[in-house]
Amino acid sequence: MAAPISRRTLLRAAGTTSIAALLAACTSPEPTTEDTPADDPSSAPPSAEDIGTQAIAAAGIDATATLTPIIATFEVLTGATGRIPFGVLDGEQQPMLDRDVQVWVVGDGEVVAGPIEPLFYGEGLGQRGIYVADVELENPGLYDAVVQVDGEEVGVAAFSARTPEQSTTYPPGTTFPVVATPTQDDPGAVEDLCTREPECSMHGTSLDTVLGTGTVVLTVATPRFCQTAVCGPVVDVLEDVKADLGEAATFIHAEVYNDAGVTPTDVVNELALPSEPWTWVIGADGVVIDRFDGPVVPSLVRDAVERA
Amino acid sequence: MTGRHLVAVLLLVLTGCSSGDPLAAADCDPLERPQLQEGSHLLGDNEPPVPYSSSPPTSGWHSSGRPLDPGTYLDEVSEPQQVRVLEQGGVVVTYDPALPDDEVEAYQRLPEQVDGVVVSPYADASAPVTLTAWGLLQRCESVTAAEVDAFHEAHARTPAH
Repeated sequence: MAAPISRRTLLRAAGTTSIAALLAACTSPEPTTEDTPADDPSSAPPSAEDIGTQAIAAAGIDATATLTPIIATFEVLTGATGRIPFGVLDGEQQPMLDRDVQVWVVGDGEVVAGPIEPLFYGEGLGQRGIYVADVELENPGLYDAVVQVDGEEVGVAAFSARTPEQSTTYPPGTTFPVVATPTQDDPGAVEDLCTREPECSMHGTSLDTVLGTGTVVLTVATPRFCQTAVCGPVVDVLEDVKADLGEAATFIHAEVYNDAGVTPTDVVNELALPSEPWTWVIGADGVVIDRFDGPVVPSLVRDAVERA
Repeated sequence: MTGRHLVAVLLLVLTGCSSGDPLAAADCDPLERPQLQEGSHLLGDNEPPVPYSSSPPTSGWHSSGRPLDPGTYLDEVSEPQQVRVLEQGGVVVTYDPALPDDEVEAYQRLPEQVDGVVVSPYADASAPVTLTAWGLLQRCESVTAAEVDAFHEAHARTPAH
């Protein structure tokens, strides 16, 4: 450990010019730390390019992984309602939007679905966007999604599939539980009713007062603690959809935490959520029409409300 | 760059740096770049839905809510909590709890000397001490505070997701 006095002494002795020279000697002409190769390839740890090789080969693609697919969905349902929402980052970790994309789903070394041409949804998502691949998987388990962009670059990401019966939370076709959600009149233990800035308009009604009487869109999300491209916009997106749909549904936002991101709310506990954010569209009979695990797509929420 | 960081860099330069890896001269394996994973936020003690691409993890599904403050944690910090720290631009130092007491105590004192670091025992350790930043991992036989500081300076970053 360098004590303050010795640190000052050392800095004084070294001087800015010497430091710069030393830094230059350290970094040039060798590769940067971001590109440091192992001297012996046989002992090199697997790079991102090496990962997913088997899945890519199974998809019949002659390429190495250079892209990072983002699958922020806790579980993809087996059967006809399977849906993989995802984003793609390029080699510079920048989003690849509205591109020509194909998806193969690989399980146990074999393609079980694909190629799928996902739809791109950018509306209402600003400079972001989400691809959605509808997929019908027969069996639960771990799968690799091989994502190819513009017929060239490829990336691989794993995801988990569960049957609707195994699902960790309420899938389409199930009856949603009657749960009270915090409101302006009765915030309960929640210190901050809405961590969005400005506060959203979806805190006027508790779920237990409207469930079974009309269509409800419920989202459990915490804007303050989730600001990524995937889940950050969820409440923003639903505010826009709510404005579009008017009285067609009651929109409700429930925060995830009672306090500063430490204690989960009663809503989270009663629904036994494994992750956040989650959004459900629930029909007037209390049965789930659709659900969004992670990111939400405005047009898909609107479609579900219209189906309710 | 702070005075502390300059000292760390100077010390490492003086002990040798031929590859651009700030820990090239340290008692460490080459820097690893495990497959980058993305994911959303886990609640409570829930496990990630897919396995991490490395142990300890460097990216992927992570804990929801408030991230851990930098510091030393005597109980093992869960893997989703570790990734949450990395997502916030921190560095996690995990050590094998079976190390001799004096080495463990030295690692537990690291946050007194290096900013932005979480230190935790790690039962699944594959090396005596491991440094992680988002998407990066370095396994070492031992590290000094200056080396951890250099790793932090070179690699701590927030992801683009």
